[in-house]
Amino acid sequence: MVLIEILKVSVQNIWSNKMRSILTMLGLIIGIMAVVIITTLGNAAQADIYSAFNEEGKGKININLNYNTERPVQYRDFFTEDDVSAVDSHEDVLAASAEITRWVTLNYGNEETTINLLGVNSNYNEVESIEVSRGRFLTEEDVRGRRNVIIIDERTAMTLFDTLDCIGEKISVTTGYFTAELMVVGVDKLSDSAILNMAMGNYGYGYTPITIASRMYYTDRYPRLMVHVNELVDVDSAGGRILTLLERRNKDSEIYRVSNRESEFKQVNQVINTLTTIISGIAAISLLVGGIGIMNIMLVSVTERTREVGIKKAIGAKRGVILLQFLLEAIILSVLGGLLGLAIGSAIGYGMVSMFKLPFIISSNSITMAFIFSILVGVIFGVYPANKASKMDPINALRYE
Amino acid sequence: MIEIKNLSKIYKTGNISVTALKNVTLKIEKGEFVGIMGPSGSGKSTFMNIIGCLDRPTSGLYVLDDKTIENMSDNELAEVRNNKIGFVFQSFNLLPRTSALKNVELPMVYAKVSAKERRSRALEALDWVGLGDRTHHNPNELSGGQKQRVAIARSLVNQPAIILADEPTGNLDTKSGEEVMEIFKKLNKDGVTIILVTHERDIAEQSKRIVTFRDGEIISDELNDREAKLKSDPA
Ligand SMILES: Nc1ncnc2c1ncn2[C@@H]1O[C@H](COP(=O)(O)OP(=O)(O)OP(=O)(O)O)[C@@H](O)[C@H]1O
Ligand SMILES: [Mg+2]
Repeated sequence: MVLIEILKVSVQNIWSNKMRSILTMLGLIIGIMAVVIITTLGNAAQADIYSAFNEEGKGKININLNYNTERPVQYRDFFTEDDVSAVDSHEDVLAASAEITRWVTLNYGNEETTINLLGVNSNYNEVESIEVSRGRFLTEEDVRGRRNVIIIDERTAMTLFDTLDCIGEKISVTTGYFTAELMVVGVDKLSDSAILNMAMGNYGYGYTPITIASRMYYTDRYPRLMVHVNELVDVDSAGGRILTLLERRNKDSEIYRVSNRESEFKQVNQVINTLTTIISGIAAISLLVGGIGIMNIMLVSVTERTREVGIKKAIGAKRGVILLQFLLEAIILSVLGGLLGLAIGSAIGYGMVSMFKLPFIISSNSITMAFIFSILVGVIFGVYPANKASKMDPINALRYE
Repeated sequence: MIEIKNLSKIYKTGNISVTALKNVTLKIEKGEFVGIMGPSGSGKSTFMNIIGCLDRPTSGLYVLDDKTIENMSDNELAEVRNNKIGFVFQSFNLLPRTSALKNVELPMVYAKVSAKERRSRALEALDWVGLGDRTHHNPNELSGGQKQRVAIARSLVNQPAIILADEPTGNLDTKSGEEVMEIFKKLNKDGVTIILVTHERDIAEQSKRIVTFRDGEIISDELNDREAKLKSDPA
């Protein structure tokens, strides 16, 4: 009941000094705002990567040649068509495809663009999640019959044709040594993940039968296997079993590097997490500055209102009442600042996240944290001035000019 | 009800110490109306502040309602100020930017009176001092006399046994001063003990007992002739 009266007076005091109150809160507003923006961005990036992983990364293993071993890589270390079929038929494996990549230049009329062209098997769309928005993916006939066909991504389609409806168009593809005319049979949709798309940069990509790629790149062996393992098996042990299989096929397993995308995703997530925490930590220093600002103004306020304290004590206010009065004012200021910072930070965070087409997640966690932090700042930096006011001698306070 | 023995107050500022009260001994009974006079600097305000529990003596005994004040904690003193004593100052000491009503309600807030009762008692008190139509004015919208009447309403709203007034008419013109004095007399008639400091002889004359200070000591303590006469006069 006394508390309600004190609260009313606090609000009234803050309200009647609007400009000063806002300036007092500014430090805290900016601090909380910064932390909220950074965590919003961090959360968005993580959520994006998480869903990208769920869609595109689960159960995926790459087997690459490791060029960093003592023994140099030899021709026999590369994978043959038979190796690919053997891995593909392994019980842990849903689908396996070879992959050769080169940067190639595409020409259509006057348009020219450079893409990363992947020579793959026809089951590559079971290995990677590929979704064609126009046409179709590669078929076994394409691969076996060495058909001159290509699937390009939407970005490349737009660059070359200004439209996604380009099925049947013929484009000239050159590696520098070899030029071929390939017909567009499909257009691959861009990933839903803004971060993955960003990581791809402005370069497009395309798929062509591995048989065509072998001819273009003058090779019949492949440096890399892309494997999609059975959902029920553990990716790490599946990787081990595939290596054993390769060893039985007279391969030296020491020369391969098996990476599963789960651990890659985990690493990226870890990095984002660490970055978010560090930057938030730095931003949190401004909370300290905001707190000092509040303390400063509260000290001024205590001095200004010395007489008021004297009057209240003279008519019977106990120490606790005076203490609570100033402490509550500090807490209201800091909580108000915190909420404003949260609101502004969320708005800016939302703006930035939508600009990058990332999901907007405002976690109740960050709201609670902002709230708790601002109360803490109010208490920590309000206690000293409030205590100072409460300890005033009534008669000295009354005499204060 | 008030018993003071060998009370002294010494102010120390740096190396200089000022003796504001020297071995003051005094007894005031319930229902008295005491006027306190004396030249400037003679210790009147110091005396009032100690009686009002706003300040503590350097030495000596002060017993209020059979309770020794010197053993009380700051919070206990606050409680005494809140419900036993009403203070009226020369400079009013109302809270600025706060309505007359809220000012008068404040002592009841500290006494934990319910909001509803607070309001009705404050209105009653303001009505009683003749300010029933000024309840929502802030102090800066009131005349000196009106401010002092708000201060009196505030001092009496917790029904204190004693009202201490340190030069309550010092900042008022004669007419407002008279009005204020009338209120004090009315209160005294209702049984409230009044102790009032004044420089003006004719204000002091309106009390029943006049105590005179000089250099921190009481130099005279006598019943007021005129009041005594008025009382004894059967007419
Ligand atoms: N806080 C203080 N510090 C030092 N000396 C003080 C203090 N308060 C009062 N004094 C001294 O104590 C003496 C008594 O002061 P007090 O205010 O009681 O006088 P007074 O009788 O009320 O005077 P006036 O009629 O002018 O109000 C004075 O000499 C004054 O200078
Ligand atoms: Mg005085």
